[in-house]
Amino acid sequence: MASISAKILMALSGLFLMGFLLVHLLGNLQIYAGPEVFNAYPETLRHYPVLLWTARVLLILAFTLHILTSIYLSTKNKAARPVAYAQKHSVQASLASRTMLLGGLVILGFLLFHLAHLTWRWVFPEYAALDLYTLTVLSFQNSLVAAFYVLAQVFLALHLSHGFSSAAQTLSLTRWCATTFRFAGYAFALAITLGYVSIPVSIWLGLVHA
Amino acid sequence: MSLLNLKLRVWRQKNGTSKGAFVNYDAPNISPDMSFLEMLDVVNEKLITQNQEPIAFESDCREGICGACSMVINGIPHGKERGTTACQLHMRHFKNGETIVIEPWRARAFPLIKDLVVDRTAFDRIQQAGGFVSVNTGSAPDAHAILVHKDNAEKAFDAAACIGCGACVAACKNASAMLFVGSKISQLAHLPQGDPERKRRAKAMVMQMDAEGFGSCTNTLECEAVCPKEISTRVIAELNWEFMRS
Repeated sequence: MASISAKILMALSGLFLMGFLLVHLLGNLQIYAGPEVFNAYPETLRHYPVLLWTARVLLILAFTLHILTSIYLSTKNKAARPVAYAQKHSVQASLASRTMLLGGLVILGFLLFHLAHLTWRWVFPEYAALDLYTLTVLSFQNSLVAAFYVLAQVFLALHLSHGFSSAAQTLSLTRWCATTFRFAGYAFALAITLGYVSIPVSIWLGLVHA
Repeated sequence: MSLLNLKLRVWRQKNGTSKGAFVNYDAPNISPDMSFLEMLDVVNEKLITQNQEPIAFESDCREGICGACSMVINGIPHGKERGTTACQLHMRHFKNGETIVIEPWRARAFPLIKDLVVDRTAFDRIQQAGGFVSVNTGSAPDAHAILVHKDNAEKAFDAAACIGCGACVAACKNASAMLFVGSKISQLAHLPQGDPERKRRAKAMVMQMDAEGFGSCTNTLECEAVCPKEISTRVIAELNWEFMRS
């Protein structure tokens, strides 16, 4: 497969996942509306099994495609420079652009923990039978769990801040104005991160309680 | 400005199969008006009088237009001055007593020949794969026979400034050649003369680029920062567009 074809697949799957992050955030922010509204959200989704499973399958496909293309391209990229420089300085490459692979691995680790925590309910077996709102609130009262979620969102912010404009460049949308997409990427990453971080922080500070 | 006394740490390697290592040299009494290559000439003259092998490096025009002088100076291809080739980098940009680390381009597609000299014929093969236009033989057409919009002419000219030095590959963390390939593609994509081969050009050049063992672009923008002709990564977006169209 041509390297640009793999990059296009990575960009498209990345943009799909960004769309999911936005929809997921909008769902999560309902926690501020109280337990009735928040608990009703997953229940409503279960009333539409075809829609739910279509979304799940598409998500799994997008994640798989994103990971497989990253492995394919990273392996080729590593092989392209077998002898490293003794001294190498970056002139303008951002931290985010240089840590996409590391960020991706951290996000993957976080995703597995997040599923084990709130979907499969393995992390706190004593809360497993509780409703989602109570489980979420009791979990984030634990400082370690809240801190881990916040830290993971910082990595997500870095990944998105470069990933957005990088996807736009790969899909050739930046032919006219690269700066617009760069700043749109920063804005998107900031908005998504602040939204997600606000939930564990609000619970940990006692602003949202069971 | 007074003369400079410098220390050099230069990569020495007899050939592509032998093991290389850094060797330290003193470079005393260097005029700040010298170019970087003139400074290396002075060091080499001293090495020759001492019956030592001079440092091998490439140079040709020594006026910043041929792209031969490929070397990484203190961790940056062509040195820290932007928009400058190593031959146009002057010693006034260095401090007295400074240690300068000099390395060759490091990329699988640019195998080392000797010391600071690498084989960049991979670029030639990419060009041969599609970086050309078909022309009819015969008398030259009138200059105004084919009209080109000024914006297109400017974009084509910006891309055509590429001298194929390989600094983009050297700077990229993935040793990607996409700024080079993008320049060659963009130059022709904006001109009517490039139209006949348009559909097969991008695909052929990208396939050759991959076959040569260059990495792929992760859009760190490091290439445009070190390009001596300051070519924008816009040409990479144009390369992607031409590839998708092909």
